[in-house]
Amino acid sequence: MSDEPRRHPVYMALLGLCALATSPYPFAAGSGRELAGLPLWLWWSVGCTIALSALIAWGIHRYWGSDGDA
Amino acid sequence: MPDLARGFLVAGAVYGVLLLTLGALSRMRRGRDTLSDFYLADRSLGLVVLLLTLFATQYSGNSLSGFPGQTYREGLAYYMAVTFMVAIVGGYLLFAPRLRQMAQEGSYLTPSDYLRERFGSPALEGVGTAILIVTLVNFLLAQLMAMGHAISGLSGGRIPYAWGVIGGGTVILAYELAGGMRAVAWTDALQGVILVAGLLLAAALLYRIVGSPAELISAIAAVAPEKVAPPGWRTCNLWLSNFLLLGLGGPLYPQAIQRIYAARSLRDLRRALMTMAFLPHVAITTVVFVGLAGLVLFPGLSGTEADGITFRVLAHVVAVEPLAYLPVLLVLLAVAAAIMSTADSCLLSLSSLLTRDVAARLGGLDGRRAERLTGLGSLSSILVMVALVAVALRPVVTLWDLLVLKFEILIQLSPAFVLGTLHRADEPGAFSARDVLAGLGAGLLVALGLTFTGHRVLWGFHAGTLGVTANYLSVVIFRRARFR
Repeated sequence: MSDEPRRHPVYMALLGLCALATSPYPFAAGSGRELAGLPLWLWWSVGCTIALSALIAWGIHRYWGSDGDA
Repeated sequence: MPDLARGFLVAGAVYGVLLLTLGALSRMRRGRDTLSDFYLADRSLGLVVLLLTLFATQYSGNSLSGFPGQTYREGLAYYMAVTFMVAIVGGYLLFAPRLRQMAQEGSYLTPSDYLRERFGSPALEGVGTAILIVTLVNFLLAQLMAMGHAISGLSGGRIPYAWGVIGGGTVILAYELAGGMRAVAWTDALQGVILVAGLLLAAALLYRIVGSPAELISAIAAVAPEKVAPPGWRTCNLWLSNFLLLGLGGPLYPQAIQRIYAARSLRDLRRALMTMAFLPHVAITTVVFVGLAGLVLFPGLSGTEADGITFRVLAHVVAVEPLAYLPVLLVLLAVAAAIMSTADSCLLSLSSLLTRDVAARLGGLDGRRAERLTGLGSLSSILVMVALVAVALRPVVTLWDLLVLKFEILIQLSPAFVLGTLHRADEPGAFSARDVLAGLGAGLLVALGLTFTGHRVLWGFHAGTLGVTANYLSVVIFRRARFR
């Protein structure tokens, strides 16, 4: 069986954490702080979502084995 | 103000001719007269076409006209849409690598081929096929109704709803019958280009009119501060629930799975999905931007009025900036393209399931003889389209009713694909059909039970998300009990 991302527990744990972090739970208590005109919670979610995209792309590139199907 | 409706009629006619031309061209490229050629383009989709067809299929009419309305109602917190569209691509990682490998070895045509070969259980195959067919009928009907409303609305009522449904349905059926998956993928590629161009233009035009995101958010805070306030616990739960619902359910659409099968090479498929992981940051962020701009330009709209916010904002753009007429027409065309590209993919997948997994199975035809059923494939496409157009002309359910149940049911197949692809069927410790069926029963019971007792969302979590949690737990418990 060829390699695949879910066979790498550390990678999957990182992916799960990143996925959970996209929801702005740390700001649910109601922090209305801003950074460069945008709410801080939005920066947080945008950052985590971009990180999630990068992590998904990296996982596909690194761990999705070709196994003869070029 | 320039007449957008008249412009849409002309642009729509040109667009329709282009689609039919692509359909005719794809017919010339058809190879062997087999189901694999008709439904999977003989597994020949290269990187560019594959990427654009994945993109156009994933972004339905709801993404372009429904998401801005939802943003208008929920405010900045609907940025969650970007996250859950990324989640769909992440969901592929949970089963697609192994499924792609099995599909190559077993020459799969439909998702049910996987269920049949991996589990060897007619019961699971039957239930799985039924769920996929119900989901596709539901989704295709929703797209046909959306197409009728969009064509009627965009043409300023010059084309009535009924003719929008019939005309759009006929064009889709014509190019699909001509070239099968090849035609669908080529037209999806054209629709994908229109979508990308339309969205980028929309973002640029809005930037000129309402200013930067920071200026826009400041303006919203002045008229509706609650729309930019930090999301509360319930909204955060809803965010996570949407992530799980779309991440586990989105990749299970038969049309999505068939694009995994149809890729020319694994390298092309991997590159297409890597690109797809970043597209929501452009496409859906723009869509959210449209909804937020609507909050400033048209404050105080009621719930259902907000659904038409995309068209109100675009009409405003043309009124303020007459030079934006042609770009706005392209955006309007993108809305129609998003609906049609999803509808054609649903129709093709539905036809493949009815031909290969229902008719061929009932007729007792094996793989090689079933491959020759292309005539039946065309006939099933015609019958499905005629039947659903008839239903769409006299809708007994609303668009909302159709969308509500779709994911709650489809997502319950997730363990069959995610856990089922962990092991080969003959491997010790492999999940069995009984485990999966037990989980499926538990998941459907929880999801449908909650939905029909009026608890579609509980503490911010969807009935489908709670159902699939029960489903996974049941599968694991049954497997452990079996090994004891």
